[in-house]
Amino acid sequence: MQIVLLSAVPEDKIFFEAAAKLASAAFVHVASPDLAVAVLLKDPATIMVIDSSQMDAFKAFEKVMSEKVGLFSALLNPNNLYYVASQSFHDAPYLAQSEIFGHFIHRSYNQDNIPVVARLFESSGAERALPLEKYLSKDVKTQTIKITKSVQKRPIVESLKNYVLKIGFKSRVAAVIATATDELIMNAVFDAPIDELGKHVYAQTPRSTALELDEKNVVELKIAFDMKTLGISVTDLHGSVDKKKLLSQHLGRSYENKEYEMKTVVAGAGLGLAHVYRNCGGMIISCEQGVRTEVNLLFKKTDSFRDFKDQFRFLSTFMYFS
Amino acid sequence: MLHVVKEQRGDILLVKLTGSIDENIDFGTVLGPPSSTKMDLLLKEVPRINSVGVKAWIKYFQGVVAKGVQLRFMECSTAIVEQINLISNFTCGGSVESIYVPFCCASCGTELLGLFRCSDLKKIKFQIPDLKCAKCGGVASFDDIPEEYFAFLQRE
Repeated sequence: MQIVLLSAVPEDKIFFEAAAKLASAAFVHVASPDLAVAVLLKDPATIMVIDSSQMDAFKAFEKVMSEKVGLFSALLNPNNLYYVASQSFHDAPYLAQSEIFGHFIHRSYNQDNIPVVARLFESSGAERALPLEKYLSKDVKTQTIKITKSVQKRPIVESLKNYVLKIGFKSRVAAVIATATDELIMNAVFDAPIDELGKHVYAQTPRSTALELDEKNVVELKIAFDMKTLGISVTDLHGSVDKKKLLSQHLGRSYENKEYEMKTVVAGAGLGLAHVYRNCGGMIISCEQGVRTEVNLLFKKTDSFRDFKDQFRFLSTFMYFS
Repeated sequence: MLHVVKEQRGDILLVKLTGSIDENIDFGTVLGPPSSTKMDLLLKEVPRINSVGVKAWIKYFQGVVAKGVQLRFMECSTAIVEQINLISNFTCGGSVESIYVPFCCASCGTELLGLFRCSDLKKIKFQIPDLKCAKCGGVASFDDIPEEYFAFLQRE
């Protein structure tokens, strides 16, 4: 495995070189998009980390990739592309529009975050992304819950909130985690199911509807805690994520300075995932098209809500097409 | 479940909401059509609101405001403040009168809440004074990022 870094930020070199080392990967630091592409062309499995804080420089990188590799070339795997930026994801809308988006890493990292980025690199290098517990330390304890009725969501979310309080998270953080889990379960129950034509089965079904979740519609919730970080994972068996829509219409959208306009033709709100991402430390979406989607969230245990908000953030997408 | 208490005080309909707001809420049923031209909402006891709850909220209160009702949001919980900050039209044109401000004790970690009028927050330019922790007597400081928690007051 090989990591190539295109960034002039000294901290990036220190951080990503350490993460590469931990992932047992070779590390190459380059100064131009052309050099990065040259490395990629020699080894298409190369994982690329690109400083993407400046739109012009980012567009220049994309142009070189488009001209020398081809944005839809088999040589270019978005699962292996990492964009690093100093601003928040929703403050860099050009990233959400990127055809080759794979991962976003906010430059709020420190030494403690090297292991989780190393795990992301390992996921990129593996056949499939690593499961939730691999992003936590070896002392992790996990619990798995199968959700077979949509009405189970509320008591499960309330129980989770109580558990999170019990293990020492602040009450506001517990509410954030509960709401994030609520949104993921709701998405898995109502948004993930598609028919043979790829149409969302429950697009217009009120979210208060009591649904029996049979075999294909069973949702799995996994909770993992290693004393420092809480991981939440929600899995559905549909694998229906549309990455472009996910990025442009959900995760990359902000309503702080523009009005939220309700879509009355669909029952969902289209707000949930953006709020989830903005409130967690790490979000890892792994989708095997037509088979399964797993969304993992990481929440750092902190002494205050302020510290919780200041935690290292990243967004990862792994898409697999069989 | 969301619990609703309504009280008519002169020409103002006072509405107290208690509980989480989610997909099971039907504001049209629990609040009904507005019976006054002024509605004050007490939101201290709303710990969580999910995205479908937000959609239901905006749909109902936009309709209320369209009928000429003046909305005032009072004693907003931290969860409500977060939504006001995240969604520019969450208040549907109503005014936010007072909010709960979170504090955390540096000594014992106890979480505290202080009720502030928005007009007072503007006067002190969001420089929130420390509190004395009710549990250990230590110093409890504002526990959020000022630019984020008070963002809605700065964009007014």
